[in-house]
Amino acid sequence: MPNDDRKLIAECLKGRTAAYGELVRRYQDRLFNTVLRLVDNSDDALDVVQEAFLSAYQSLETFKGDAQFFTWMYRIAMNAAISLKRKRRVVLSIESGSKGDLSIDPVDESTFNQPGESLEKQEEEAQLQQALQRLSPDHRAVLILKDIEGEKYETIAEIMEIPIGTVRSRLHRARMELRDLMQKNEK
Amino acid sequence: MLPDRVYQLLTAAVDGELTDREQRAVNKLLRESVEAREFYEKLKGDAHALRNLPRAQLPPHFGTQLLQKLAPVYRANANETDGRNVFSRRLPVWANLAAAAAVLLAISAGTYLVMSQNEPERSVAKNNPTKPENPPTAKQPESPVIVQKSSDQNGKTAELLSNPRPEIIADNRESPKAVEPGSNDALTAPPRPAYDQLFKVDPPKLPPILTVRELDQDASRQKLMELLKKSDGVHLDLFCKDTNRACERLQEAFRGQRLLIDAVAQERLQRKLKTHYVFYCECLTAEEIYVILKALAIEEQKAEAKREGQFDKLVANPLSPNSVKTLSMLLGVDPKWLQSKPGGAKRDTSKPISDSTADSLSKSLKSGSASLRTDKIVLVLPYNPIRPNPLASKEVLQFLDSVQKDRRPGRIPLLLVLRTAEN
Repeated sequence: MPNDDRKLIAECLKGRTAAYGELVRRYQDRLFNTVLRLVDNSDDALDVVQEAFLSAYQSLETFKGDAQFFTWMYRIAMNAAISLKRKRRVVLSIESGSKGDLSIDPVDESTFNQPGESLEKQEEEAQLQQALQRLSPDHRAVLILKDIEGEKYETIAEIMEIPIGTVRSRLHRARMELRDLMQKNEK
Repeated sequence: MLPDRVYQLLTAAVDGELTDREQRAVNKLLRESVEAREFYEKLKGDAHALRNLPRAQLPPHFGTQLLQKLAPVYRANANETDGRNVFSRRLPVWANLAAAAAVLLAISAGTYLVMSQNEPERSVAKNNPTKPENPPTAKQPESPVIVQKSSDQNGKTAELLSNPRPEIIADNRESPKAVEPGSNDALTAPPRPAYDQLFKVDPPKLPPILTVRELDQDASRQKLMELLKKSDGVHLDLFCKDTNRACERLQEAFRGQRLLIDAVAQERLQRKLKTHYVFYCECLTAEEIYVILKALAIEEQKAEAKREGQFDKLVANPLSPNSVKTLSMLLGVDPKWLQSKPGGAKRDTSKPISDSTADSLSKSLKSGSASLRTDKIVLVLPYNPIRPNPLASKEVLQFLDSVQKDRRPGRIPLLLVLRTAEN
């Protein structure tokens, strides 16, 4: 863990909320981006990130410091996001009833419509985003951590609290599934 | 179609986490199989596209808002840890037990030493229960021994008896003073401090925790009135099952007063969102507050009979500086203004309200939606201390204005927080 983080955590434990503010500023954007890919819309992502930082603050005393603060934060946020996503899926499946089209989540239109981008690129991104949203929360989480966050198997295993072998096999299945979905879109 | 083992190798290659041996196998595969090469390129393309997805930005005030949300959490933690070192809670259980044992041992040893010092003196006192008739006033040398040897020695004896006594050497040292009979300290002077009082611990004073349905009983009344009469303000935490339904019931109990329900609170009540509510007023006397609580108790008893009981416990505390601070955040005023005595300091004019707030107030007054008549006004708010600008609330402004005009002696600020029992 970086020394800076360690110092800030020690100060938080002494009751200085400003130190925690610094930690929040340091990691908020990164965490928000990751969570946003997981939960599909920015309002939910904002809620999850906020809840994650609040929970982390409340249980800061239990943070042992053997992992990185960011990894620990990730674990809290990912668990919250995945459980939110699962809940939403249950609601969706109940609401859609017998129509059968269960897992198509709405595309997040709020964040990625950048003017000036070529239409083709925007379309590709939208397709990728849509395909990503069709993956199960667990598959999506490992892909995000690996490809978007660039984390190693070991860190992903620590964040998701699963064995490294499971990370590898889950990533394999996630990539195959994503490729399959992208291929369908290309056709 | 490639075998599954090959796909696994290719995906792991995209992850960049292959062993040397696996890397060599992949290289060979990519050289030899066009299909594998194509698939690998596609997988790499997917990973690259994912990496290059545009990154979203958080709203700029996210950090500030979060810190504002943290403030009450921090206060709660601070209350818990008051007077304790933060790191002491990190001690393992055995260390705490060892510390407790050491303290007990020290106390026992100390007590034993004190008792053992007192013991000889007490035993002397037991053996000589009466006061000596002639307490020594001066140290005297021993008198010469008179020995009557035989009758023929009578002359010598008489001579010896007629001789003056040897000179008495007086000792000028101060004699111990005689202790009055009946005193416990007889023969055990000098008096010692009462060691038993050193270990006497006053029990902590806990706030009254009352059951709502029993608030009409004498015992509850006595406790409440005692608190209400001796406090400058009172903070009641009222625990219930469902704050929205309980809020409606509480509004009925306050029916003699004019309730100003903040727009946000109204919306949350309508939508039945999970919310804690605050009732605040400065217009009630101790008796009036009790009457409201009694009415609530009676209604609760009726509801319980129908199995619709809503309230649980009521915790009553004097209005603490922390409560005042929270309240000041809720109302958007200076804590000092809240604590000012009736007829005392006016609202902090050094912190003028913003132009937009003043505009909104003047508009609301012109439109007649806000009246400044000084009824007994009770403000109802959602308990959300991070409200960005409380003074943007028409109801809060109206309430503050009425309070400023209507502060009178004998009336107690009442902060009632309606909470769910599980929190």
